[in-house]
This record gives sequence, C-alpha cells and structure tokens, in this order.
Amino acid sequence: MSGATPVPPVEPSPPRRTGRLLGGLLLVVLGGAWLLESLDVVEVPWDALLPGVLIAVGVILVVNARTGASQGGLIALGVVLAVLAFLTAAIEFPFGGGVGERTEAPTTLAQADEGFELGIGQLTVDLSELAGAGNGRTVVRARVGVGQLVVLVPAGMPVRVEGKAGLGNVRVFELEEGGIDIDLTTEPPDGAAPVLDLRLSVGIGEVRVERG
Amino acid sequence: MGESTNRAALVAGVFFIAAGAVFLLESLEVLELELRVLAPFLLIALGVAVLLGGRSRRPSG
Repeated sequence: MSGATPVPPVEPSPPRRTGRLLGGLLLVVLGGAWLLESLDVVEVPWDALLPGVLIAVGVILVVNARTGASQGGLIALGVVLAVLAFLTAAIEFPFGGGVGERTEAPTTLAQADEGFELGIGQLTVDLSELAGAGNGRTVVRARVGVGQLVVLVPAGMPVRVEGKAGLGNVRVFELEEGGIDIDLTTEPPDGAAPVLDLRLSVGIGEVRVERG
Repeated sequence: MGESTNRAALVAGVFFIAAGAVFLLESLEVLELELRVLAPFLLIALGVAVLLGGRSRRPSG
C-alpha cells in the first residue's frame, strides 16, 4: 500500500448535476411509458405528455441558465422532445405502432375493425381475402407515421376512401394528390353503396390504394 | 462578479416552454395547428433560437 494522499473526487457543479439528474429521469420516464404502450399495458396520452415534459425541460434550463453551467445535454433532450411533440401534434405519430415492414391480411371483419398502425416503415393491408364484407359497410382504419401505407382491395368491390397525408402524397387507384396536408376522398363510381370504407393516413410519406 | 449567464440555455429554455405551451394547447383543442403553418413556424423559431443563443455564457452584467 502506498502512502500517497488520495485525490478527492471531482464533484460536478450542483446545477449541472441537477440538470443531468432531471434529464436522465425524464428519459427513463418517457422510455418506460413508451415500453408500456408498446406492450399494450397502457395507452399513453403522448399529445399532452410530451409538451408537459418539454415545458419542464424549458423551466429547468431557464432556472439553471443563471449559473452559467453547460446545459448541452438538456438542450439536446429538449430538441428531441420538441421534434417528437411536433410529430405528435402535426401528424399524429403512432408511437406504439413499431418500426419496419409489415403486412396485415385480415380475413374477418373483427380483425379488420381493430385497425392497423405503424410508426415508421411500410405497412401493407391486404383486404382481398376479407370475408363477410358484402353485408353493409365495413370501416377499416390504418395509419403510418413516416413511410408508406399500401391497401389492397378486392377487384370490383365498391370502395370509399378517405386518404390523408401530412406531407407526401395520396394515390387512390388513378387519382393522386401530393403536397402538404393532403386530404383526398373518393366515392364509389355510379353512386354505388360502398362496401369498404377506408380511413387511411400517413404523417410523412405515401398512401396508396390498389385493386388486389 | 464571477457569475455568468448561459445565454444558449436561457434562449433554449424559453423556446421549449413556448413550444410546449403551443403543443399542449393543441392537444387540449384550444388551438388547431396545421402542418403547413407549423413546419415553417418551427423552422423560423429554431433559426431565431440559434441566432439569439449564438453567444452563450455572456456576462450577466
């Protein structure tokens, strides 16, 4: 054992420590909420939670700013939260929808009635094998946060479509619109009563409806 | 005095509070925001924040 004098640990300044503590705590809370929603344990009201946390981060920054300590971590956290809150407010981003490429092919009305959503990626909803869709109108909802939503409908079936895109384009058979805040609604030709009523939306990307 | 203000943190904090309030009001359906308005507004606000926060740690006087 040497007799060297132990060097006292360097304590971070109180404001920085507080900021780091609160920032870490906020991340843990947000991550936990996201995880619980992904596991279908709870449905998190992101549209209110994210702005609330963003305001909390802002208040912490303003209070700590007087000390002159670096707040880079909290500022970065605030930027991420601001972007997420923006996505939630502007395009109703489905946080629990997951990421990747997915195909859904409901065969019963009960399956179709649950709706489909994906956070980021490509979601294909194949309705060509949907049984029992001839009895009245069946409403099918699907949305994608960022990416592409493709819906395949049976050939010859009267279909009504409400297609929305925050930023991108909506293509329903031969019709196509693109730009910002696109809202394209089509009715079945010849005044036929629609059998399928599709409510489709994508935050950023493309909605496409085709005959299967 | 040795105390100084982290101007970048101050500007960012005010910006986050304002943005959070706007998003909160939107979620409570007090405001209705459209992407065509929100996107350029956010860009402008970020630009202003960058400009104002460019010189951080200015003496508080």
